[in-house]
Amino acid sequence: MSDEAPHLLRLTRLLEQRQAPVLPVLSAVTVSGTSAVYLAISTRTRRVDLLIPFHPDALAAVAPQIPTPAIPARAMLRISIDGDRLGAALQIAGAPTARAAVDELAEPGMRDMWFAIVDAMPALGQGVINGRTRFLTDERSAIAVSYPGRDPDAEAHLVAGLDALAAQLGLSEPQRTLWKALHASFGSQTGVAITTQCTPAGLAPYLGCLYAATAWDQAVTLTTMIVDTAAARAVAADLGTLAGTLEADELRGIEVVFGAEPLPDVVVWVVLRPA
Amino acid sequence: MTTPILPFASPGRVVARSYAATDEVRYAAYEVSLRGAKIVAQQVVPATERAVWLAALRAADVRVGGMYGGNSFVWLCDDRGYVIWRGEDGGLVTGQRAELADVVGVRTFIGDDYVERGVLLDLRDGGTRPLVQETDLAASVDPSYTANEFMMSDAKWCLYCARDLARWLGVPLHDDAFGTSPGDLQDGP
Repeated sequence: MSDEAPHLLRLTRLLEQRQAPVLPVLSAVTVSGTSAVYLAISTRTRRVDLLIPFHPDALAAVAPQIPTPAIPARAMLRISIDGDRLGAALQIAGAPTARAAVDELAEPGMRDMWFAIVDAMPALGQGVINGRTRFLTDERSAIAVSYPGRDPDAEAHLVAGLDALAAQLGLSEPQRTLWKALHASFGSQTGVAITTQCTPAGLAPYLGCLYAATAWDQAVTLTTMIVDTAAARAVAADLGTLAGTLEADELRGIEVVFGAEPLPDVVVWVVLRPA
Repeated sequence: MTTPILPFASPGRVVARSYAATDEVRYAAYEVSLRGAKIVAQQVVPATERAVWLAALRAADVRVGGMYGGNSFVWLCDDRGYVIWRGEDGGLVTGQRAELADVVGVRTFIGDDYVERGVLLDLRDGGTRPLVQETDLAASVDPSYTANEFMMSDAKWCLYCARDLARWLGVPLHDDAFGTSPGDLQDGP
């Protein structure tokens, strides 16, 4: 058995549990190798995203209809698996400037509106643009700004700024109240990356908040703050199954994703092959 | 000596010490080419036999260098020059000591977001020249990747590579990436 086999086996089990297409995803991961595979797993839906080193054959395995794009430096392949649907994106580390990132990703008519948001975000709290995503099978793009741990004053400034941003993106008042409670549960010393998305029609009603939190229990606690007790118990059981399937003692991150639905998704980030 | 040198002494092979191994002396043998270096064997050598074992390898005309844990870089510096291989297919960087006559120091570096790390050469005219680097995108996508993760990672290949090169050239090592001093490091191959 190769040293890749146990990791591919765990991934296969996860995909089967999620009723996802196994063969194309396994082909992609086999091409790219398992040494740096990150999984972002939804607790509310069957959706799983994989981040793997970019390889043209990996893209061809999951999105054969997409011609290989010009690959920027520092790009990874993001594979989105939602039931039997597969999507692909380029996730690129960092960005030279907010203007360069927006001009690269957005339609000309949407650039100034998105730039105004992205350009203002770092000043909310020592933030830096830590990544951008160009979806290849979907008409949208994303930019993430990350913030390190904060003292209480800086935390208050960040929360006020992100609350205003959430309102601008169309999140309702109950959603914003819930976001503030969920955010506070991590503590101000936890680093967070905030993602906004843009489509050809305008800014998406989307706010992704990815926290540098590693405890499975924290994902359960968050869920109890979002849904009723019975639903939270079901999610806790699913997370237990997931931890066993992936043989992962800890997470690499927890993401709270607000979108068009009234309640947010909690997405757990796991590395397939722990160091 | 009881530790056999075969298959480490086979023609065309290079032997590298794993500097990541702190509680034992571990070596790996590589088949090397212009395409890269492929690991073919590993061996733990008792500390008491190490000097004799290395002498036997050198007597068999085997070149000895360094590597770090699971990282794919392999390097060596000896009287035939320096070579740095990058994994099985990543090619190599190579040269002679005379080509580095304008080098006055060797320096490790790390990017602000921990993604790029590697070895720079300090030049007599005050400039620097990149020698070799790797890009680890996990550092950018992993929300929990911090300075601590970096310090514990296999990225220390660049520190030991820079140290071996500096020692070979007889110039100072400046460890901007990890902040160690030469006395903190394991001895040479």
